[in-house]
Amino acid sequence: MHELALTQNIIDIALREAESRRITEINLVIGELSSVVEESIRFCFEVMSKDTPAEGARICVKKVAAAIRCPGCFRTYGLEMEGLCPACGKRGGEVTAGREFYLESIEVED
Amino acid sequence: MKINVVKNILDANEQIAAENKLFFEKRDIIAVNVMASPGAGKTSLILRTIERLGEPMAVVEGDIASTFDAEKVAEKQVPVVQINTGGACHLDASMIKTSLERLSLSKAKYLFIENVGNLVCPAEFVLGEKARVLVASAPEGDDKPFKYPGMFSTVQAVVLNKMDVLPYIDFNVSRFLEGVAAVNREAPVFQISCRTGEGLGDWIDWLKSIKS
Repeated sequence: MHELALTQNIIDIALREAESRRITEINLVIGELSSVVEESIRFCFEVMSKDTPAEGARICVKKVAAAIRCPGCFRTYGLEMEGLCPACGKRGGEVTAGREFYLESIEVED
Repeated sequence: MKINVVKNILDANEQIAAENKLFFEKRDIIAVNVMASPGAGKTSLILRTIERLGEPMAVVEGDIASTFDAEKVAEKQVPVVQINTGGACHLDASMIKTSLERLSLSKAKYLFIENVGNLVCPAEFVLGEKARVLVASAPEGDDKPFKYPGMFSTVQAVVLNKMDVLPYIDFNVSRFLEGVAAVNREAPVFQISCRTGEGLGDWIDWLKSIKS
């Protein structure tokens, strides 16, 4: 729901890094727990990047699955297990991945 | 040419949140971000807390529109400021920063920030708070921790409200507790009813145990 604001941040960061060079690609990392909707980012980007050096840039998204580390056997498992370790059956754990939401890199024209 | 950036997209918000955090720390104020879906009982929990905490408080009310919640808090003689987000689905750090200018905090030991009713977006936006609390209510269903793991994984405590209606609905308490534990091992779950007052003692004790 707040992807409009997030997309503005993405564009702001990318334009600052590009130093007025044309941006051809923006690489994002989005974790499964970050509740960011990739499709709305793409939609907002198309509208908001118009008439900026980021217009037409390709948005590439690397998705990171949530990982929960079992406190018993230290194996990590995903959200689909509903908190039950598939190896030892212990419940719950520490979230070790899945909250990511950052701009990893951009491609600019030389 | 590739430029490595590795920059948190929420950085702008997090910088202002860090300023708010410093503001609270300097004044020994414990800020609590209260999040929930609409109707779970955020305002009721704040009102019951005002009655029982016995410490000076202030409140920031976040809503898309209206001042109903702020009026209820003001009736308790507690300093309150209402933020109307005008459609935005969450509070952000800069809204809090601006609202602090309009709030009398000279005596406050606790600041309760009632976020916009929503189990998705508020999880992403830190405000500078010391503690993040999620209010869930039994009628919403025992599957909510499984459906909103992002939100449930970021809080320090969960308050499960409306436990007085349990005899009339199908709500499996242990399934709910399992769902919370699946993504958050540390957060205590307080089973309460704002209507009857049941369970509020443990919640108040927990609030008092937070160090500023």
